[in-house]
Amino acid sequence: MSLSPLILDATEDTPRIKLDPASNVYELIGNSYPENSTKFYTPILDWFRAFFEDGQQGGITVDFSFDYFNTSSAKYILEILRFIQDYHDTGKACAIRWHYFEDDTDMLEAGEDYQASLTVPFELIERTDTY
Amino acid sequence: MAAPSNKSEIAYQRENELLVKFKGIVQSDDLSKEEYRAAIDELLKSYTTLLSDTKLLTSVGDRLQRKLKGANMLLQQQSEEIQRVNETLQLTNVELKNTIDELTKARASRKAQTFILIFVVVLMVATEVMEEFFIEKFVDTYFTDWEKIFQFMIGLIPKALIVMLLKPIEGYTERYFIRQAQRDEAKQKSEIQEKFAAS
Repeated sequence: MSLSPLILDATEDTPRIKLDPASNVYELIGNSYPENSTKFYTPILDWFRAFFEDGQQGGITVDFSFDYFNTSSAKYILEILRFIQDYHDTGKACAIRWHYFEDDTDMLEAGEDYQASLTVPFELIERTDTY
Repeated sequence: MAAPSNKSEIAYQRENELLVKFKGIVQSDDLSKEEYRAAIDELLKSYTTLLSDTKLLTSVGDRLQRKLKGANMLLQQQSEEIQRVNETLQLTNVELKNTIDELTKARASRKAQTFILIFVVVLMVATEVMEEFFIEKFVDTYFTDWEKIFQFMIGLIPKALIVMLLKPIEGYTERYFIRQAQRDEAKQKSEIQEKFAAS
């Protein structure tokens, strides 16, 4: 089954989302403090659920690159990471890349917190560009 | 994991599913001791995960709050700095305006002085010519020596008048040139404003 990509442009308070099996790009980039986190993240979680339940898909490497996210987004990010962890536990090759801007110790430490709660390969990557 | 029935609860679907499951276990009467033990084990694992998630989210939340507070403080500082710069600019503007006004006045004063100088020279030459060609001839014909001396004294009157009127004429001329400069400045300002409004 070929899964349709989920692509959402960034806005002032939501990140750019690109989940595209065809190009093997899976990324969440920008700021995340939507007025209604449930409304924004439900399609994303549904997409990941469909991806992991689809037996035709291989491994996945997901890039997270936030400048800021609010607490409810933190919960949804955790859910996405748990999905990836569960998929990794089935034997699929999964990896997470957590990007943080240089000198942004808050985002680095948030990545370290998430990394500590998972066993899936989790890489912390410093970036120097701005979005 | 199955799709949630209530989309508003999607963030807590795992937790809700576990809650429903263990509620069912507690309400069930036909589970064996081993099944209860297995359920308790699973409950303990789920609770451990939930506690870990709570700690993680609290820590992340605190960190994000700190970042937001830092950003707010920076904005506050920048806002105060901008206000200070604005106040300095306003003071500088006032000083600049005063300097321009003084320059305008000095320029008008110079113009007035030049005008007065030329005016006085012309008047002096005119009075001399009048005395030389008309008054002296008239006096030589009709007046005695004493009367000629008196006539000489009278001839000084126009010159004295010119000297006494110098200052008032200079003041009037200076004010005229200042008004002219202010009108030119106002015209220039309105032309610039029209240009900006048009663009």
